[in-house]
Amino acid sequence: METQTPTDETVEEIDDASFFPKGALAFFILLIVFFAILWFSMYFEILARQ
Amino acid sequence: MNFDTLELSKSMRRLLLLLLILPMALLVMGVYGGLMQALFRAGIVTSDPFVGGEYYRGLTLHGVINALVFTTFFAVAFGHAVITKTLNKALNERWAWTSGILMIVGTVMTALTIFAGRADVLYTFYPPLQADFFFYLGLVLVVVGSWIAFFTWIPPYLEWRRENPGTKTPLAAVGIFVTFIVWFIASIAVAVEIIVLIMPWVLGWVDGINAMLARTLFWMFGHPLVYFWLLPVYVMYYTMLPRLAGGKLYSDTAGRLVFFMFIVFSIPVGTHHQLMDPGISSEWKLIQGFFTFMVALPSLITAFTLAASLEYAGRKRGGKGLFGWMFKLPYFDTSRWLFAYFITGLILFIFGGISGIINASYQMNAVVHNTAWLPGHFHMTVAGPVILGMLGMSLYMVAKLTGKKIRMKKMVLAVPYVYSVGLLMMSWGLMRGGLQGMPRRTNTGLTYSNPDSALYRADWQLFTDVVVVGASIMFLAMVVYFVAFFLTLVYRRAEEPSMSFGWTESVHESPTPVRWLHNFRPWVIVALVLIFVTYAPVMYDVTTSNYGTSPRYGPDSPAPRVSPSPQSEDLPPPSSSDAEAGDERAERLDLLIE
Repeated sequence: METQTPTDETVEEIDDASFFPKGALAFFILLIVFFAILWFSMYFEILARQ
Repeated sequence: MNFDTLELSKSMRRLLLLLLILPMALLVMGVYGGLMQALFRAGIVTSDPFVGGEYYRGLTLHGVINALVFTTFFAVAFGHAVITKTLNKALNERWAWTSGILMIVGTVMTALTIFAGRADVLYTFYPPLQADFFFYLGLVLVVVGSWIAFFTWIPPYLEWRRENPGTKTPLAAVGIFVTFIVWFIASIAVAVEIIVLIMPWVLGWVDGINAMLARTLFWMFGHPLVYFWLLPVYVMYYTMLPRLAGGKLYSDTAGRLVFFMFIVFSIPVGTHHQLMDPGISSEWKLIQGFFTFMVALPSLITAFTLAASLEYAGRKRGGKGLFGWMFKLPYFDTSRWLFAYFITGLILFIFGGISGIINASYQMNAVVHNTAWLPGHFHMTVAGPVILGMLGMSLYMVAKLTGKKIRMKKMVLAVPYVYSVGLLMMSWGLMRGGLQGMPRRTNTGLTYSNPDSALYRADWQLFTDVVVVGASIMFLAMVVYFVAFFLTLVYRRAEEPSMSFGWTESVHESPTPVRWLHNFRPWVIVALVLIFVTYAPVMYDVTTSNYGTSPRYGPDSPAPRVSPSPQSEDLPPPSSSDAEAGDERAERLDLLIE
């Protein structure tokens, strides 16, 4: 794309074979927890309304 | 990937520009219609001279242009470009133009009926609301035009498969084909609704219409429509976003799995829009609600895969720790302005996604059904990732197709952030109001937001005000975008036109095709079986429910009369108290209309 020179700001080289997305995994777990909180807050809203 | 070498012909470039610029011009009116909705509902305006003063006319215009016309034109233009570039195959230009002309004629026809005040039926056009015949004919032409575009991609693809045995279909092409497979199957339902049910009724060949059957057919189309909007943006997310961020896609295989899962789970889900409707058995509503949870799976896989891809890019740019990579991404890099359109869409989709799961949860739906919560939710999907992705890519493609430099680039970069702040505010106001019972599809400015009305709800005022502020911020961001878009178009050419996309590489990619992710056919067969299994009982229910048919609903008959059915003949006559309550309601309605 207009612009795309992927290595232009590379600070660290990454070995593709050993790359493990631990940050993405943590983000995903937090996302699921966030979803659960929102879903259950609605669920308890229903219970509160009887 | 080094397949992006074939240039688009001049004729195809012109067609693509037409398909991108015409709906963008219409979108100016659609966005204006959106702002007016917020102002109407807050009671700030009571009449809009531009669309004949009608609240519902403006709402119809807003929905049809933004959600149906703009998205369909974009998907076709984007599909033409992606298929040509990924397969390195020229398309049949005659058929491509036929498709484009049909879509344009259809759009003009539909837009004129709306402006003429002959189609105040909203974009869902639920019978017994009735529009002019040409409103429906225009929609049919748009859909048929998009089908023809899809059909023009199939012969070059089959040729490519013959020439490249044992080679994986490019991921972007997989995404585009999945988009239009879902669209084709789903739009058969709405074609049946319009051609078999609505058109004979509009032409007076039959007296009434089975409103429940029409609604069911609409939602058999209407929910997959959401994925038709979303999937072109998923193509951008999977094949362009990682490179824009400075990295690679974490898993090509995950991308393929996600796209194929959408074929299977996109369609047997529509009944979750009818959870409060009569005439459909509870178990089938529940089962389709379950499949709606299943269709969330590919989006969750996408959330992880894209986060991993962005983490790869962020770490490459020096990000440390568990979340340090998030702060190294090019959020404010004008040379990568398109990144801003994608990342803001992804953030908005977090909220749009979870609120959708709440809608599809059977009993929870009772809390939010037909309230302002719903537009709060779907604006965070269709007006979030979908519109932001399409706006960004439209500007990118127009600049490439004309060889012009993008104007006001800093402002273009700011647009998605400002727009997103407005959208979050607007959706918060709508959703919080919805939880308090604030209705959707209602000109609340006449009643609930009007201190002079007996129905005034002071406790909803905060939410209405926040909606107005949010919608105004979104409108301002869109004005800036439109100025940049059309300025880019009118400025002189800076280079030779050349359409190219920056396709991303993958961290994990199998060199040969994974067998079960190589062919569309088994996924389509599973999808058709699932559609039959889930929809046959629903269709049986709605066609055997004895609700009779309904005549046209209009100002002269505000309460739709129901044709006598065997059951209603058996009912006892209404009691005097029922009749009095009915008279009282009619009087209040007359007062409101006055």
